[in-house]
This record gives sequence, C-alpha cells and structure tokens, in this order.
Amino acid sequence: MLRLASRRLLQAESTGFRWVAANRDFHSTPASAAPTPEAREPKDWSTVLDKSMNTLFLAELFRGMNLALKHFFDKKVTINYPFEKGPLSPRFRGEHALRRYATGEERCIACKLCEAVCPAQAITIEAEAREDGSRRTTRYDIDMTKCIYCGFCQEACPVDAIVEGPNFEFVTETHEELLYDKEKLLQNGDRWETEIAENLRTEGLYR
Amino acid sequence: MALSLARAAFNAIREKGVGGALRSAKEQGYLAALLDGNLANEKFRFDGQLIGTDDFGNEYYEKTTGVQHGRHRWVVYKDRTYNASSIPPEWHGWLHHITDRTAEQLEGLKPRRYGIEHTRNRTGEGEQYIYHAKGHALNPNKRDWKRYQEWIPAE
Amino acid sequence: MAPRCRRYPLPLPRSSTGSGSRRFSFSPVDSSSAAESGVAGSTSRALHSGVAWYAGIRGKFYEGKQSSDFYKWGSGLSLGGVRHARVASMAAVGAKFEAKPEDCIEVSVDGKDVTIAKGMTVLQACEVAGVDIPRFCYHPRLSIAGNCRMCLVEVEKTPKPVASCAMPALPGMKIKTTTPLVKKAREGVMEFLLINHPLDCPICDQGGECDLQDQSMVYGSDRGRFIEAKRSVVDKNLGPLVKTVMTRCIQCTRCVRFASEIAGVQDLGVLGRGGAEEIGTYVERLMVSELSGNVIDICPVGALTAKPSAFTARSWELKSTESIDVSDAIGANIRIDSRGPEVMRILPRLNEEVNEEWISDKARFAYDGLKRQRLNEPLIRSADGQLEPVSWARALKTVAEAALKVNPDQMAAIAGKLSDAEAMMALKDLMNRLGCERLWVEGNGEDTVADLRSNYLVNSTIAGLENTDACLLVGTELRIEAPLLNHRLRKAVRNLRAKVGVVGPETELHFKAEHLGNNAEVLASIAEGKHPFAQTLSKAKFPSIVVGSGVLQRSDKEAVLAAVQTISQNANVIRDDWNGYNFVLLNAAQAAGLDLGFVPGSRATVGDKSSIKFLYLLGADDLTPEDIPVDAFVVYQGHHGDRSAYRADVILPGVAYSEKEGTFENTEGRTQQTSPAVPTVGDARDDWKIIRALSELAGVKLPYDTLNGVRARMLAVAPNLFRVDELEPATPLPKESLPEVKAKLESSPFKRAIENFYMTDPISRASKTMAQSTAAFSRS
Repeated sequence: MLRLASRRLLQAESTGFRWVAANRDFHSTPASAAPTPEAREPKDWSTVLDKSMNTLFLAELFRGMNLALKHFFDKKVTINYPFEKGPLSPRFRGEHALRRYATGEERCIACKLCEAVCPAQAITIEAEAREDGSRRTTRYDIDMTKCIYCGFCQEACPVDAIVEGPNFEFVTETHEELLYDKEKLLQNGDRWETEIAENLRTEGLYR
Repeated sequence: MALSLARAAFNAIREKGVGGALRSAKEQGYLAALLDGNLANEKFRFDGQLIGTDDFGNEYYEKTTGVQHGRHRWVVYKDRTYNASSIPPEWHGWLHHITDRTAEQLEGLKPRRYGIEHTRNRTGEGEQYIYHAKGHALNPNKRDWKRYQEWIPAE
Repeated sequence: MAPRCRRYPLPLPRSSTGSGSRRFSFSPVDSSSAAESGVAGSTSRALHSGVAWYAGIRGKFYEGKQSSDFYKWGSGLSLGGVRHARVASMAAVGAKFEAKPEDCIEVSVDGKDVTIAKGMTVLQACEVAGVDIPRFCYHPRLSIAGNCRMCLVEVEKTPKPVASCAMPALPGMKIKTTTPLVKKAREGVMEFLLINHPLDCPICDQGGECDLQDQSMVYGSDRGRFIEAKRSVVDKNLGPLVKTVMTRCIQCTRCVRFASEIAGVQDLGVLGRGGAEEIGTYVERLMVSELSGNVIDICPVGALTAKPSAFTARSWELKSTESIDVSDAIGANIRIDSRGPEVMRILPRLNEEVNEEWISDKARFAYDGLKRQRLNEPLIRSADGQLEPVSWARALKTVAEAALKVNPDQMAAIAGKLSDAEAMMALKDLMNRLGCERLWVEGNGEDTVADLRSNYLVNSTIAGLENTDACLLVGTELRIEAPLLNHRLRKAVRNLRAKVGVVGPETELHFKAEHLGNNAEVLASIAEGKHPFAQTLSKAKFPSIVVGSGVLQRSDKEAVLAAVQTISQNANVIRDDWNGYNFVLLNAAQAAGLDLGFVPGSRATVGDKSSIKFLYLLGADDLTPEDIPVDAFVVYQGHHGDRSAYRADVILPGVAYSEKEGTFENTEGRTQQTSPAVPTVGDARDDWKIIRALSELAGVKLPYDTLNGVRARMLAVAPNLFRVDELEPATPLPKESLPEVKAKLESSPFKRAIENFYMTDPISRASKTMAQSTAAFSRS
C-alpha cells in the first residue's frame, strides 16, 4: 500500500520534474543547468517518506502562512500614506510652478531657455512686450503629460521663475487638466511659494 | 497603543458618561474610524505630541521616541474623507520630512503681497471645481488660437 | 554661389593700378563725407577695392575649387546668413575684375603662405587663409574704425599686438593668430567690453545670434573682476522700427557709419568719450531713412533691435525660408523667419546683384500686415448687399455664370501689384479663352506697349548703376520708389562723384543731386541740348537715365518717353558696352506682367471703362470708384480685404507671397521665386489654382494641372520667366527702329508716384508697423 502510494508520488514527482524542465526550456535556460531526473531521484525510503509527508500535510503551505502570521503581529514598516508621508528631498522635482518676486511681479522674463532646454518639448512659450515695455510671456504652457520631470527647466531659468515644486499630488481624471497654462502655473507658485522658498533657501548653498 | 487607547476611553467615559463619550467619539470621528483601518491607525494613536494645527483644522503630530523612523510624523485630517493633497505648503515640507520647520517658523517666508489659499486636488468632483486651461472650452477667457485676423466686411 | 553672369561686363578703371586714382580720392564727394573724411574713409575705399581685386585673383588662382573655399571661409563664430556670406560677397563683387600678378603680395598666416592683393588688411589676409578673426567694429561694407580692438593679432617683429582690421598687410608679414599673446590680448579686450555690458542676455533679442555672446564664449572669463556699478545709458528714440537699449552698446560705431555712409542720413553720431561715450542723435530726432532697419542687422550686440518684433521670438526657434520681397520692384532677397504659422521677422539675404545685404524698411517690417485683414473664405454678395461666406464650389460657379453671361468685349481683368507670374499667366489664358483681351497690370498703365523689353527694364542692371558717372532722374523719387536702387546711385555719387540731375518732384535723395525742375520743359530743353545738364550727360563715360514708372500715368507719356529717348541718343546712353537707359518699375508684378503680355490686346484697347460689365481683379486695389462701373460684376481674388474687396461681388481668397511659390521678375529683368514659409490661412487657395478651377466651371478648361504645368506654359510665352535667379537682359533696339512720336509734351509737373513709402500695397496697408512709421516719418 505504502509502496504503491510512494510510486505514485514518484510518478507525480517525475512528471513535475518534467514540467519544470519543460518550463526551463521555454525560458531558454541552458539545458545543462536543469537538474537531470537521475540526480534528484530519492535515494532511500526515509527521504521518500519525508517528501510524501510534506506533500500530504501541506507543510510548505503552513510554513508560508506562519510567516504571514508572524508579520501580522510584527511592527509595521509600511507608511500609512495619506496620514504619514514618505521623506522627500528639498530638491524634489514635482509639480511645476511659476514664481513671483516679493512685490507680486512675476519673475518670468520670457527668455525661453526652459523651452529650448526641455528634452520632452513640453514647454511652449510666446512672448511680447507688456504695456510697460518689459518682456513677458503671453503664453506659458506646460504639457504635464509630456514632461519627464528632469528639472532642466529650473536649471536653465536665470531668474528662478519656473521651478518644480514639492507637490506630487496633482493627479487628474482627464488629460486636459494636465495641460497647464500660465495662469495655472502662477497659481501653483502663489500656493506653494512658502515651501518653494524654504527649499530654495536650504539648497541655495549647493546650487 | 492599546493601553493608551483604553486609558483615553476610560477617561472619556469617566468625564462624560458612556452616552456622552460615545456621542463625542462620534463627533470626533472615532466611530467612523472603526470601519477604516488606515484611518483608525492614526485616529487611535494617542501617544503623539500635537505640533500644530493648520488653517483647515488638520492636526499634525509627532512622536520622536519609540517609533519607527519615517512614521514619526503624521497628520490627522479634519475632513473625514481625507485627501492627501489637502496639506497646505507650510506643513507639507514638515510632514514630508523635507524640513524640521513648522508652519509658525516658516511664517516669514509666506509671501505678503500675493498668494492664494491652498486647495486640495479636486479632480473628478465636477467641472466647476477644476481648473480649465486657456485652450479649454470652459475657460471664460478662452484663448483664440487663430494666428491671423480675418477681414470683416464692414459697412 | 557662383558669380552671376552680367550682360555688360564693364571695363572699369578701378581694376588697374594706373588709372585707379579715382577710388583713392580724398576729396569729399557729397554731404555725408564730412563724417568720414580724412584717412579712415579713404583708406576704407582703397581697401574695398583691394578686396574686389583680390577676388579676381582668387578666381584665377583657385579656379575649380571655388565653392568649397567659400564655405570654409564663411564658417566662423558669427551667426546670421548675411554675416556668413561675407566672404562670398567679395568674390561676387570682384568677379568682373582682372587679376594682375604684380599687384599681389605674399604674407604668412599661422605659418601658411597666402597670396593676397595689395591694399588688403591683415584681417582680410587672415580670412583668405581661412582664419576667422573675431571682430565687432569691422564690417566689409563700411569704413574702418578700428575701435573695438577685438581683432588683435600678433605680427612678427612688432612689439605689440596689432588691430588687424586697420593694419594694411605688407609683403612678407608673418601673422600669428593663435599665440598665447593674441589670446591674452583678446581676453583683455573682452574683459573691458564686458565691464559695462549688462548681463541681460536672457531678455535681449539678440541673444542666440549675438557676436559678443559668441565671442565671450571663446574669450570671456566666467567671472568678473569689477565690482563697480555698471554704467547705464538712456535709450534713444529712433522711431517705431528700431528699438534701442543703449546700455548694451559697445561703441563699435557700425550704426553711425552705416547711417552716414550707406543710408546717407547724418542723424547718428558719437557723443562723449571714455566711459561717457554714447551713440545718439545729436538732437532729439528720429532716424529717417528707408534703410534704417539694416542697423539692426549690423549691430553686433543687442543695442539696436527690431521694435515690431521685440521679445516675440528667439533666433533658435525660427524656421528660415529663403524668399523674395515683393514690396517693390527691386525683388530684394529675403529670409522669412517663421514660427509655426506665423511670420516672425524678415531679414535680408545676400545677393550682390540685387540688394547686397540690405533691404528696405517696408520689406523688413510690413510682415505684420500678413496677419491682419486676411480673406480666409470665399464670399458672395447676397441679394441684400451683404457678403456671405459660401463654399468654393458655389463661389466659383457664381463667377463662371457671371462671366458667361457677359459679352467678352465687356470683360476686363486687372492684376494687382503683388501678383505672381503663374497667376497672371493663368488669368491671361483664362480671359483670352473667354475672348477677352482687356488685361493690364496695376502700375503699368492701361495702354502700355510691352513690345520693347528694353523700354521697361533697368538696363544698366541694379548693380551696374553704381558705375554710372552722370545720371538723369526723370519723374521719379528714387529714394521712395526703389530705396535699394537709390543706394546704388548713391554709391556712384560717393565713389565716382557721379553728377545726378533730377527732373521731377523735388525730393531728398540723401546724396548730392541737382534739381533741374519739375516740368516737361526742362526735359525738352535737355533733349534739345540747351540745358547744361545735357553737356554733363554727353561728357560722361557711363551716362544713365532713370525714368520712374510714374511717368506712365501721365497723359503725355509717349512724348515724355520720346524726349527721354532723344536725350539718351544725344548722350550716347545706349551703346554696345553700356546701356544706361533705366526704367524703374514700382511693383513686383509689373515686369513679369509685361513679359507675359498681360497688356491690352491689339484688338481690344481698354477704351471706355464704363462699358465693363465683368471685372476680374487679381489683387488689384489701387482703383478709384470711378474705374469700376456701378453695374459691373466684380470678382476680387486676393489675400487682403483692402480697398477693392468692399466693392467686390465675389471674393475668392488667395494667398500672400509668404505662403506661395510664385515667380516674380524684378525691375532689371531678373526672375526670382518666393518660397512658402507659412501655411495659407483658412480656406484660401493658390491663385493659379483658383483660376484653373474657375476655367473648368466656365467651360474653358486650362490645359495645366500642376505648378510645373503653368511654368511650362510660361516657358512658351516668356522663356526668361522659367530661368530662375537669372538676369535676362533686354537687347536694345537700334536707334533707327524706334517709333516716331508726334505727341507733344504737356507742361504739367511730374507727380509723385508714391505718396507714402510705407503704405503701397495691401500688405503694408494692413500693417500696424507701417501705419506707425507713416505717422512717425511723415513726409516733411
């Protein structure tokens, strides 16, 4: 009886092996790397018995579940996201913002260096002279779906006007909402100035 | 945690009675938190030190000892349908461990002559809540993309 | 860019050393010489003759590898098409000169021996050797100032570095341009230049195409040693075209020299010295010149930039298209810089034969008219008198039906100033097939005879006019009608001390000219030889006559032209080696229209205009309401809603010159083509295609379906219009064959052909910039 069972197990095992071997072939692993059935043949009855018991009583399954149970009672390492937030660098490159001077005058002078440097060509700028004769943009669009957040635009900016702020929580439901225009970018700047200024202040030494 | 939770519950019942404690627990959102594990995780964390409260009523806590690093600062949202983007920039850096300065310490960097109030990301809540860019049909100042002016046969 | 063929190669004295003294003359030749009298001015002239000379030698020595040499020389740090082609221009100028080995010297540049002409400067020698010398103040078309010091090189056995632009090369000179001494010297110069130059490259329109920016990449330091405040200079108001940011000025004085030497206005000058040195107008006044926009191009920094296009575009984001200007009949070569569907600016392109490297302000700044008042969909006047947008099919059907209803004798077609040859060809074919021969081009007059081609061209060629030594202007304000031709004549006055007499409206030509009177009697007395200017003309070696096409509007034009013919016969203006009879056209379409025979046919003169029942206007806008009968059916095909569009019954939107590939012939008979730089607006279509589609609906299908088909037809009618960029000179007829004219001269004065230089065509009339210029520079 036991013998019969073990033979069946053996058969199952060998078919399993075949399956594994076939699988390896499928993944184009060199054939020599796969263990040959002879090498893995059980040598004696105690090994066969061990293996059969493991299989019969689902020992591996319980070992896995035991591990899960252990971690269930362990101290959590996961950050509980919306309440606790992961660390960011002061140089984090998130949502773009156009900054202003302390007087409220927009910084951007339409030099178009960010447009020129943008590797994704996400920025579109049009400019002309404002009534007071200063050089300003009439259009400053960033296609946030094109942007690769490389930060070249803020590197190129001679007046620290375009910055990539610390905000990354600006997902939208529609594509259009991610096509930012100048007004939106200035709004971002107005909203985030406190933190942007703090980050620029702390990193100013190294820039 | 369990101990501090029990102590807080006991204190509340002793002060207000069972009914009063339950009512205030409901008002403060503790009962709702029972259905939301993530929320409960922070809601029933009474061992933190309240660092500050922002303009929207979100409370910022910190516990520096006996806590895993990276989980030592947390926020308890005022809003029951908590939204990650409702953290204002004064607290954003603090909560993200970018800086150790709190909103009071960053007060000096807040622009005096401009600035708008922080709003959370309201995408999907309706057309009236989201920003429409100049090219969008719903923007009142919709931009004319025609690059030439056509002749209008005037009288 | 091979030197173009010239019909009349002139054996000019300046090619030989012996008789070349004229070029070296010190005496001032016109009012502007005061500004550049003395050594500098004369040296420069000598030097330029040297350049021309050298090119002749080069042609001989380096035959066969010309083109590769050109590009090597042209390459360098300086940007911009015009500046690139600097060296190529030299060869083009000098193609007509003979090389003489005894006029050559040998110098060594960085160890490489080069043969150059006597009189060339060290800088030019270096250019010959293929070494690019940085420079700010030196410009090959201006006198030498030598004040920027950027071109310092080392010459062996001299104690100090020398300014190569002002140093004549001497035989056996050993020039070194790569030594540490040179680098250090130039770095020092750059540091001085940058003391007061503001760090505002991000907001400077010159940024990206700035000589100073480029050179500072090579010779500039990454930090400054000067902590003192930079100086700032009050900006000058030069009018609505040129924007000044005088703080950026590095005092190269190129603009001052341009104004006095090329434009001929003494408005700019240098004030103060040292740190207080400033460029300015002595008293507060505008720079009134039709060529004033060119100071923008020659300014090496951003001190002078274009005001209309201020801040709108960066050089690196523009797409350049080489094209032809159509604002006048000169056909200046231009580069249309566009971004997306918009023309952002227009710059000159080098063509020594036509415009050198200058263009008029109208050509440069009228482009904003291309974006205003555009016709973008077919319109039909409905029963209630309103123009309504309709489909192309319906508009064309309406026109075809109206045309077929009318007797061919009652039809007429007028081509406008800006029409291209293809459209005129198609329109002529269409009208002829419909049986109508009442065709004419605006400006040519209604009964012009197009038989004698030499009668309506600038026969001396535009470049050739600078060789004249006596010139009679008849009924033309050359400065306004053709500023670039006026500049050529000015060169003749400056270099050859040409005598210029003017019969016609009194006008400021910006050079010394004798106003002989403004009536036909003066002309008659010159023709009879009584007038002293008749002697001046007959004594001249290369006499020329310039007749303005405003003469065609006179009722006694045949008599005037006959008088001019008599003068030219008496003064021997037309010879085998020189044809000085020049007829200056006003509009880009005129010459091609005449070549194509877009004139009233022999069987049908224009006659009584009130009989016209069907009038086809191909962009013709200079019509008075009296020209169009009330009951006529008017079709207006054009790109701008200008004057005629208000009267039209059907409007067919065509395309402007910046949007089409069209052939134009300039006033000297040179065929050139525009290239489309921007897409067409709205529903507009190519002009010849509209006419082709109309012909099908009218039942007289034209036999061509492609642009090349139209051109093949043009080849059959006027072969010269098929040879693009070639000058097809007219063969002057023998004197005997000229028709005898019996008409009498009238005493009425010559009228101005152009009242306002800045607004002559639908594009410039739609332009805001041109309106501002009109207001600012109104005729004094």
